[in-house]
Amino acid sequence: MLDVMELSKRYGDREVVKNVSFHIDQGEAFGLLGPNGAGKSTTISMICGLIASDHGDIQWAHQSIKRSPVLIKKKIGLVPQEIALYPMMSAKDNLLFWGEMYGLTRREASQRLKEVLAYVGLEARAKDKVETFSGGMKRRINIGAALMHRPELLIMDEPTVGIDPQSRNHILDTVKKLNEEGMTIIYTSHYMEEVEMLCDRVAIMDHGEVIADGTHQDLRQRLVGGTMVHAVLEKVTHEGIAAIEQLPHVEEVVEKGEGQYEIFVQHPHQTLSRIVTAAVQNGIMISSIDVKEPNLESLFLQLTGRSLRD
Amino acid sequence: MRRIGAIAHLELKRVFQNPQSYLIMFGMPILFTVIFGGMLSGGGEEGKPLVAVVDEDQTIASASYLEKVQASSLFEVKTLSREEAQADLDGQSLSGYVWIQPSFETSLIESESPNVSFFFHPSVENSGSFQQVLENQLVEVNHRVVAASEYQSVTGEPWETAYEKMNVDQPAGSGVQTIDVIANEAATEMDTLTARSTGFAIMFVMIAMLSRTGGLLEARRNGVWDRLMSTPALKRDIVFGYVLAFFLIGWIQFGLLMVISSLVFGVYWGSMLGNVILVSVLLLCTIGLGLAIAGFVKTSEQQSILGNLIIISTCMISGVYWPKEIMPSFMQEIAAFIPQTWALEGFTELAVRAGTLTDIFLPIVILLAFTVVLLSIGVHRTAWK
Ligand SMILES: Nc1ncnc2c1ncn2[C@@H]1O[C@H](COP(=O)(O)OP(=O)(O)OP(=O)(O)O)[C@@H](O)[C@H]1O
Ligand SMILES: [Mg+2]
Repeated sequence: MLDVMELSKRYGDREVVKNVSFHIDQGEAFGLLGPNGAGKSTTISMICGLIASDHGDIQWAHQSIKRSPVLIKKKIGLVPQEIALYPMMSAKDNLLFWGEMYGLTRREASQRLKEVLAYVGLEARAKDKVETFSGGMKRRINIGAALMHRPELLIMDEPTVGIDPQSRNHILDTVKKLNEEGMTIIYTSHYMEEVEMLCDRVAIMDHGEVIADGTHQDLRQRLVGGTMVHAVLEKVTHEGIAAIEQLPHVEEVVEKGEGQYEIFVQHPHQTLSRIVTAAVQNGIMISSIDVKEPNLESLFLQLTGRSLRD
Repeated sequence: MRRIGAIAHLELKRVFQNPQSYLIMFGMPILFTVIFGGMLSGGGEEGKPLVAVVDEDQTIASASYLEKVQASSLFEVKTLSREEAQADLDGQSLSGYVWIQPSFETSLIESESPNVSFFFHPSVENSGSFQQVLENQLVEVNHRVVAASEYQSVTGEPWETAYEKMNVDQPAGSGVQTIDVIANEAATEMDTLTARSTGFAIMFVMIAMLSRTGGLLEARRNGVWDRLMSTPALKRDIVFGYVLAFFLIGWIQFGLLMVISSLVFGVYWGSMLGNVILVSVLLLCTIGLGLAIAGFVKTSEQQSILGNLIIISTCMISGVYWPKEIMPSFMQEIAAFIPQTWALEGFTELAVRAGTLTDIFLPIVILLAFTVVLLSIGVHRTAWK
């Protein structure tokens, strides 16, 4: 349905999006995962026609969005990263207004209003000013404003940043529900748990580039060393770490600072005892050590040597 | 079309839902009218200072000057002899007098400094302003005398005819023409309350428009603008929706102020059609100014500070706060480059000289020129930069 093809964007001499390509099928939930400044919002802005790309193309049903921007904008609902609402107006007025801006008549907007308020669970607060809402409620109305016109593709740019767990769960449930009802979704986040839970396929971005993409299965296979051992060590020596890296089935040791290490391994049960032995033999003290199931976070760490939220 | 309506609807609702808007839009201009209207008129027409003119020259030029002074609405004027005037001044029954000395006309023709002296009682407030007005009027007479003298030497016509002719054939660009219009026709100035309520209506429409246009900066800051751009709405429609909203809000404000001023202060506005056109053009010009200022700053706070500075200072120069003629003549020349001057000129024409649409053609054309420039800069810089 949507093809992003070799997209690039530079600001001054900084290339903030580099040759980004991905494809999204109808009905799919697609995750765009990456740390701050990875270029997620910039990519989304280009898809939504807010900024022009320097290179590449975006196609909707094999039609370039440059050719018919308005046609495509009608099918997209954008939930911006910031809360782009009129704070002094009521939730209802905001939703009606955005509905109209997306092309609904006043009547259509009024009819749709109830459904959208139900989706975001704010029927009771419809008449209150957005300004008086909690952060989570504002986020929910921010999403609601993009749902008024029943978009085919909902693009959400970090819709759960800085909110309470309750609102967060509500939002995640809403997105899940919308996707199950057939809405195609692009979900941007730097919370890998959210992306793992919601999305069928994921692209991981860093420094403007897609460094890995595919289904969870694909990505897990890309992870060298299926399991991650998290160890907190003291009296670490260079030779000690080198000895651990030499062990069979140990693929990689990543230092995270303050004595924290992530060790990517295969066959964790046998390997764990070898790691402990090697450490002790080299005079390294182990404060704690445990085995983690591999996830997108581990993949990101392995690919970049950093965690997502550093 | 629907989207234009939606934006206009929302903006109107945003303004009139906010109690603060009423204060800026209606409370402040009425308050300012009362304060400045009352202050300058000293509580009514009787409060005008009495000024005497002592004409010892008795020439065409001195008579012409006397006529101008008499035409001014700022003071009551009577003619006295030098002794009488001095006695009255000492007895405080006179605020001041103008002594036109015998060689007045000759001194003007020979381009010397005119033999005129001004005397004010020390207790008179604003004596500086009054003197300024009298001096400005003198400058006009001076121009005319010089022109007439030139004309006489070229054509050989009698002095009297030459001077008379110069009344019509004012040398263009002498810089005091605006005063001339007022001074040549008797009683053509607005009374203080009318002038103040018109002026402050203009000023506070401009100030209120600053918050409206500042809303665009706010929308840019909080992401609303980008969100608007992500909808299928055309940028053209969005801009038009905003301008329409500002225009309607402006009309509600100015229209209501017109009604209030005529009911409360007894202000007469004159030709309906003329006012509708003049106010409409003035509003577009004001929107243009607001957008243009918004186009050159980053935040709505900066816009508010810079905008208020520009609006209040230009309003002072253009005669919103006090009559333009009490200012030095170079300030009056600057005033010609300020839209408010022309708006006031238009309203004066309509209200005081019972002008019709054709009489305010010039102010309207000039305001339109300001509008085209400001609006295109403003729209370009706020929406397309
Ligand atoms: N208008 C701009 N001018 C200059 N640089 C910009 C502009 N917009 C974005 N950038 C830069 O481009 C990079 C990518 O920004 P972007 O907002 O796309 O990141 P992001 O992945 O959405 O990050 P976040 O998780 O913080 O939202 C950043 O380094 C940012 O500073
Ligand atoms: Mg972002």
